[in-house]
Amino acid sequence: MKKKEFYLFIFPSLFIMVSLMVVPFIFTIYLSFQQFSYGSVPKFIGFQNYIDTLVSSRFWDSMWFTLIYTAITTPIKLVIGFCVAILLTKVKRFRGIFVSGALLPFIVAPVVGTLLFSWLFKDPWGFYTQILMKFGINIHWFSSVWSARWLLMLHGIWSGVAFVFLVLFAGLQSMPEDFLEAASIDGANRFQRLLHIIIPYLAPLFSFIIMMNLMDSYRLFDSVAVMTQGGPGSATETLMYYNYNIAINQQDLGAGSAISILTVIGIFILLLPSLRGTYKEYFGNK
Amino acid sequence: MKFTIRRSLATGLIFIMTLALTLTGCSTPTSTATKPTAPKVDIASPKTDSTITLLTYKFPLMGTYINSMKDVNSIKNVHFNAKEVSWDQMLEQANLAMSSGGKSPYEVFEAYNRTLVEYASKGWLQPLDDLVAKYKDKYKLDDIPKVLWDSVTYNGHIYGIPHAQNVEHLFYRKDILEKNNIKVPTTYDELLAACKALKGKDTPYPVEFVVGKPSGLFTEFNDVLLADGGSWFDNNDQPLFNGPEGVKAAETLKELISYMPPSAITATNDDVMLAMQTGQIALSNMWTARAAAMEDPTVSKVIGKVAFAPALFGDAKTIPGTNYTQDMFVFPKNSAVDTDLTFQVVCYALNQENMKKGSDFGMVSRTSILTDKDVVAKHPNLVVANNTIKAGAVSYPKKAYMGLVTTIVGNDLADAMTGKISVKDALDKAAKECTVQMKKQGYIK
Repeated sequence: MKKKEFYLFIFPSLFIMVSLMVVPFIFTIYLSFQQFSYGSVPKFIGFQNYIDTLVSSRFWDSMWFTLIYTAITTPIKLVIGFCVAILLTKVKRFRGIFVSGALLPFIVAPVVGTLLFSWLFKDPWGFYTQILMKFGINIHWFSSVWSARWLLMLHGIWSGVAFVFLVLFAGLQSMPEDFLEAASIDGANRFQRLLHIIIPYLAPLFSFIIMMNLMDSYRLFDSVAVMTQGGPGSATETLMYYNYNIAINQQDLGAGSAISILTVIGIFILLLPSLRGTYKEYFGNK
Repeated sequence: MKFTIRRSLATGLIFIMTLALTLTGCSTPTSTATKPTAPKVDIASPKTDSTITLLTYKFPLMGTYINSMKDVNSIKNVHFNAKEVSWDQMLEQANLAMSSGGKSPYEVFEAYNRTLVEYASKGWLQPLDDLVAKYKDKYKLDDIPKVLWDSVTYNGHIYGIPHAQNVEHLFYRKDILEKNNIKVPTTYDELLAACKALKGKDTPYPVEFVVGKPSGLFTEFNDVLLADGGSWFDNNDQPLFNGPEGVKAAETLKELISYMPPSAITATNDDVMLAMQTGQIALSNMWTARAAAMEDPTVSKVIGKVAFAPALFGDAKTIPGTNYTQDMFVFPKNSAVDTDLTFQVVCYALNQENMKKGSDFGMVSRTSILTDKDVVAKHPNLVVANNTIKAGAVSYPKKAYMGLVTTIVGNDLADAMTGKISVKDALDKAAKECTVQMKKQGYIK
């Protein structure tokens, strides 16, 4: 392909990317050095917003909870999604129905799903709360610190497993059967085939899923806003919800922009190993 | 054979979907259909198409006004609709709408005394002095007392139309207090003693207040702070709420929370009202507008059992621990519709007949309704509310930064209530943050 043609073809995507991603990002950097609120004129204050954010204990608490959420939900989603994908490859009859069922959390609108999920655990009249009470288990899901955190993580796992399943199921479907056949002939048992053939084959997909999950967990907002509003206290305040509190509720839009930039830097640091791997894979041998 | 079955199934599915689509298209007509028959509304039809959207939080009294405002849909070129959201969402959306450079998506906002000061100080609101003078006789605006017109006045200009007032006071189960020989509490200490006596008896929990963060918790803290003789800021806008009175107030609140359901720290007004209606609690401090709901036969299990008492006093015994608010309609400067029209639409809904209906749901603004014998006989809470106001109930300080203070103090106090930090540390942290943000946002030098 000629260079001219190449640039012509990528121009529309490039234009959209630049106008919808790069320009707002640069503008956010500019705003992060300003002091301004609703309807006020921005006033340059240098790095003050960054300093105020980095010395705030609430910022570090929200960062800590976001990392805990990411560290716990990501491997659990991966394991459950992988298990469901493996199981469904064995199913021959009514596979379509089971696959549709596994994808349901993916299809439900996030806010609707979160609202319904939270009602199931409402204290004292939630469906699951009532069932647990029948067995003498009284968990105050929304008013106890760790219960609220676990509830959010449970919801995150429920809503995120479908994506993991979808990607891994597609990967398993596309896997050539020859490898598994050859391994069977060589005497490998199921576990050995799983460990030495299937998992290595799916490794790039695992990396992709981990990367996507890291980004999604870091940006967690809607389930916190609908379920707990960061409570009890600030126990379930994630980075994005903290950002919302500062920017929208406290009306400090400059500080909110600074938090957004710090969040982007944080995500970039977390994804660096994965990005390096991808870069090496593509450019490494050239 | 298989191919034929699949083809039939596919054809059947397509037919069903097409039928469903057609049926939804033929559903009951909405705004584009013939306008419903409505009372004659004495407002001139505008020359251009005018859509008036009201942004408000959802509460029963507002429902009465909205139903009345819909009558204006019978006027040519006028379309009215209302967006009812939660309290915090209303505050957020109002800020976004009025601060934007373009036209506001809403022509009328529900506001109250605190938000009026914030919005008016930022120059977001349309002054209404001329319109009030112009339509004073047509809509009998003199029936609204001077104290309420003063509450909608900022820097010498009227910015709102008062439609209701509200005050918090005690709600209690008279049957349970009588059964246990407990006197109706008049102070926070007496309330704590009553909670201790009622613990484990008759109701799952003795008491619940609206202590969900940030607004609910902030309001209850305000009540106890004022009752204990404390105040928010000095004349130089320096915080006083983290002083000894503030610490005592927060400790009292924390002790009260220990008698409340565990879900109380996330409770909204609706949650606490429901708890009282379903017999989960025996005592509460609620807005007088919630009184009528206690007799709602569709929800309440305590009909005839809930009585009302004036707001509690604290150690200082000078003013009651409550918050006296005035609700109003305000009009943004960046409205796309002529304010004269929207003003008339609102005044139309606030007529005496409508306010009499509305008095079933709250403390309306017209004196003629509040002194109506039938209304007073039907709503004993209005007497209690009036007595609370006469006892010296005050509103939030008339400062533009109180919105910011609500968020900061509400959030920091919530951490103290969960035990994450001590009450003193939470209040000191909030005081420091308030000062930093007030200076940063230009409220103080």
